[in-house]
Amino acid sequence: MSRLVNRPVKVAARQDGAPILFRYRDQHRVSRILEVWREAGEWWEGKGDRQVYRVETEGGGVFELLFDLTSRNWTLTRSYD
Amino acid sequence: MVHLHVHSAFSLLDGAASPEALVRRAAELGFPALALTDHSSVSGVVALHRAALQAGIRPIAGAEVELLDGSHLTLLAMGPDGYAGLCRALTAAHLGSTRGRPRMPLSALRREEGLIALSGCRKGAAARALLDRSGERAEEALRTLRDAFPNRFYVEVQRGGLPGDAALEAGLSQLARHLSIPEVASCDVHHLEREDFWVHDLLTCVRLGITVDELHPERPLNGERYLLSPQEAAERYRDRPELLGATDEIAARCAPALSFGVRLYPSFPLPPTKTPEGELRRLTYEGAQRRYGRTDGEVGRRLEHELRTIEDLGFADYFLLVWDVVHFAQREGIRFAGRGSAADSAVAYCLEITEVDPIARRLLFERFLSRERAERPDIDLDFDHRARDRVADYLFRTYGEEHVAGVATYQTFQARSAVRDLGKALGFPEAEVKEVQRRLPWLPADAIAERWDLFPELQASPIGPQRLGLLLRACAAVAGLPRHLGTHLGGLVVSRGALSDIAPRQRSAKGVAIVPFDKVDVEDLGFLKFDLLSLRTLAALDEAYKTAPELRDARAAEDPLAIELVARGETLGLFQLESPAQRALQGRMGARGFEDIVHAIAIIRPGPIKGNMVGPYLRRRAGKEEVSYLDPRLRPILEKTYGVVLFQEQVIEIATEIGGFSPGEADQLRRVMTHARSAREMASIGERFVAQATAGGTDEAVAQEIFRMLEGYASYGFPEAHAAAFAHTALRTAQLSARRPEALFAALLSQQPMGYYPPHILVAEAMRRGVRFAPLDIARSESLYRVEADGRVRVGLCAVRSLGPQGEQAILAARGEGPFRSLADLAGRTGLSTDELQALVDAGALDRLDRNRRRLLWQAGRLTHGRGLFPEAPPDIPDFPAWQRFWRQEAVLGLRGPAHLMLQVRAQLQGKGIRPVAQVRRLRHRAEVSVAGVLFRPHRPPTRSGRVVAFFMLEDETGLLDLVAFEEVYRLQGDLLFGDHPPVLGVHGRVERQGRGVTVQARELFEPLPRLRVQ
Repeated sequence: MSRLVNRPVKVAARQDGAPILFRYRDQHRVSRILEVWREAGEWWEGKGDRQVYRVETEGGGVFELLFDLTSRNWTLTRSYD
Repeated sequence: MVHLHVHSAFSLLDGAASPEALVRRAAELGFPALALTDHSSVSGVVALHRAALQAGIRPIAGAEVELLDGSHLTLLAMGPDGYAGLCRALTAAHLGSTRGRPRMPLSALRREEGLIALSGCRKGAAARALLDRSGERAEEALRTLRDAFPNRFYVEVQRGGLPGDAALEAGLSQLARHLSIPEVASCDVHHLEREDFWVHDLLTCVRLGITVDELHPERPLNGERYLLSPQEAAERYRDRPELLGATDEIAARCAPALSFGVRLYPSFPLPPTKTPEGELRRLTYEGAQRRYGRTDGEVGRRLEHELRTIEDLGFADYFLLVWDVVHFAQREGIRFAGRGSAADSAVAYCLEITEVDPIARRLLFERFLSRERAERPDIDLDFDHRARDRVADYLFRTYGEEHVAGVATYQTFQARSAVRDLGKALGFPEAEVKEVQRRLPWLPADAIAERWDLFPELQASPIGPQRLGLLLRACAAVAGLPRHLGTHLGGLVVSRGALSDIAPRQRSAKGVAIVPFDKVDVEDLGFLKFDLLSLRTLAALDEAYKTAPELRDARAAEDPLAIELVARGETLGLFQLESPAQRALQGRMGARGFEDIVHAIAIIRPGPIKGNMVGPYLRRRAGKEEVSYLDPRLRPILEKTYGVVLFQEQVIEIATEIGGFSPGEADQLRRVMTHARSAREMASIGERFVAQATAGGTDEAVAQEIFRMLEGYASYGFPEAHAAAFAHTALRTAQLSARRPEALFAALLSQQPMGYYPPHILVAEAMRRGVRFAPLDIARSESLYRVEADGRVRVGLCAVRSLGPQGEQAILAARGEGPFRSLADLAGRTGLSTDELQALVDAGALDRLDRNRRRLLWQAGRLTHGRGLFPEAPPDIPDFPAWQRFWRQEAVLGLRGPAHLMLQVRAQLQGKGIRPVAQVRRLRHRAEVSVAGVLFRPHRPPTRSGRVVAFFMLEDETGLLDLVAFEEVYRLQGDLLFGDHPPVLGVHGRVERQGRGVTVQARELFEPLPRLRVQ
């Protein structure tokens, strides 16, 4: 089961862009990148591409983090039980 | 690295780049080769080969096909044999599947040893199984494909940035290693650059019929499927560079599939004792005896010259085949006419393919066929449209289904289609899209934004260009890309070998077998194309001669009454002479003979009009301006057209005489001039002409002036031979119109839709010319309009819009058994539907059964919908008032409409000093006038200056009037012509009389009546 979150979050990332650490209620350290993909934004509304990471944290949680390549902001989009 | 999985725009409404653009980009990026793998299509391979040849990279033909289980497979041709195999498999798929969803059995591919297969995208059998979490099925799929393509099968590794990519790759790679199948990198390219993703996504939305706001699994997720540069590819596959190396290995195994310059011309079936050359010679000389009565002297020299050229170029079979087709038509009594530059050939004339004597007219054979150009001859034949398919069937029967097919057309995005499709996908309200579409003139899709301000009807649009910004950008992005394949109206290819070895066959919407290439591509492939065109005029002539058999063999070209009719400008209904521009020209020109008609047909063309040649031609012809020549050598070439360039042959002769070109080179120059796409290209042609002319002793300034004259004309004109061929048909219609107008107009009305004018205008013109009409009558009307014994034209059942041929036949068959006694009797014996019965009532066809149409309509409903729903009509039910009867009649017949509307409002208009058309036509030159009528056919032909001149017509109950609005009026009020025009349009203006022609030059447009607004 997963839950929509859609909250802006602060993220520390590696040089290649992959997240290492993010803050959502608590601090979460990424232990493993499970999946990475790219999504086009709503181009008809002027929105750019996003890079999406599904990550596992050291605490055992699974989250989806979205990095907007235009605004360079991070959003926590989803958390998995 | 080489891109091996690439979709162009021939993956219709999916790929977002043309093959040419893909090749250009691939060459820029330094790739040595490029494959094209469109969805179940090889339509782009000719363009791929052409562009690759020019760019110096190797083309690899292929396709991404769908197997019977719906899985995808990427196929690459290792060379011509592999390509032939691909075409055979595609033919089987297209002809054996539902149209538009071709699927092929794997067995069709097993025997094709010249094909390399790649496992495909996520819809490939193995990827699909793995995504379904079925490793077993994936393994089975890969094993089957590996065995079907021994040493020619690869697993595609796509890294398109999709969720699950890593797991999918891991699964595929594991199986590939297990089954010893090599792997290869693949980008499944759908657009040129990452930034073009939106065009690909938008086209996909159009294909799926959804808006961009809607989700759909078929929509691409991101823009990663573009033509990656070698560096980007190296980065994407940095951990597995061997996958890129595999692309090079595969590319090295593939050779170009096509070689231009091959000839796949059909051979004409002959007994072994005869050669095509000998047979052509025999038939030509036999024909020469009939045509000329001799074969020596000039005739013999000309025929020998032509025959030797035809023989040397290897076209004897082609001529025999065309001869065979026209003789089939003659045997079957099918009316036909040869058109185009074929009429420049005396051989074609002797074979009775054409009716123009090129020797008498001094026509240049080289315009048709030349050694230097060595291009395929193009003989266009017009047939009575009712029999054109029979002629095509004859070719299919004679040469076999495997050797004959229709030709496709690539229907590309133009302004209107782009606005319609993309506007809908972008979520614009339908009404807004329709409004813009309605106002759009014919434009390329990428010119809308830049030309918006040039068109007042667009400026007056309730939706401005700002609101449309994204839509206009989208239109520009898809401009010229193919939207769908159509069927060429007349083109057929006939090949020597099996067509399927070089071009797949598929079914057109009409069910005819076509090859998915357009006319240019089929010729590049090496086929000979035949144009068997449909011409309704020929059917009309055939029908008219049944009424007027005395004119069937008359010499129309020399009939003074026919010429006089044309000279009066009374050309409405005449072939090629009825447009407003032609009618205006005829009024000024006052034709005196056949040659004038040839000139008239040639002069109303973009070339002479843009070249500003109409005025000088008319003034010189009338002796009001001196005929002068820039060089005395131009006199013999241009003398017959008063010193102006009217015909393509004249361009060739000038280039030969002044520029020192050979006839073939000169025709090449003419062609290059036609296709010159930039001022620089045209300037370079000019330099060559001037250089050669001055080298031959012509003064440089004169040479430049002559080139400017040719440049103005370019070649948007007719060959003289073509104009002469059309003039023959035009004068046949003129002769009928002059001597038996009832026969001509009955025939024209029977063959609708055809020509420039709708039926009600033809009827109005016929009545003006004294033709009387008898109303539609269930007891007397035939299927077609028919001239009765008293000379009246009886309206035919074909005029009833909702009554098809079946309904007509049912009526005629039942009537043959006895007259209809009542509506019930008619319905019972014909089985006509309620709609058909009601249409007949409203059309007045049943007036003889009951003059009360309302009561008849009531009965029709009762008969077919049941008595419960429709109680019996009260016996005293009143009929419709007269105006309502008229309107209902107009709705089903399309006759009487606008003129009748004007009758209704005439009193109001008279009160405002607005005159009827017939009165205006009698006013003196320069008289000020106010006139009103129903707007008809506003149009803006091209002008040399680029200034807009709008021509239009007004129709009222007394006739038709031609009007013209110049730039200033158009700028201010063009919307009333091309945009939101009122039901009745008023014009203040000035009468202009030129020769026998009358036009009104508009000073102001207005709405003479208050408009009814529906809220």
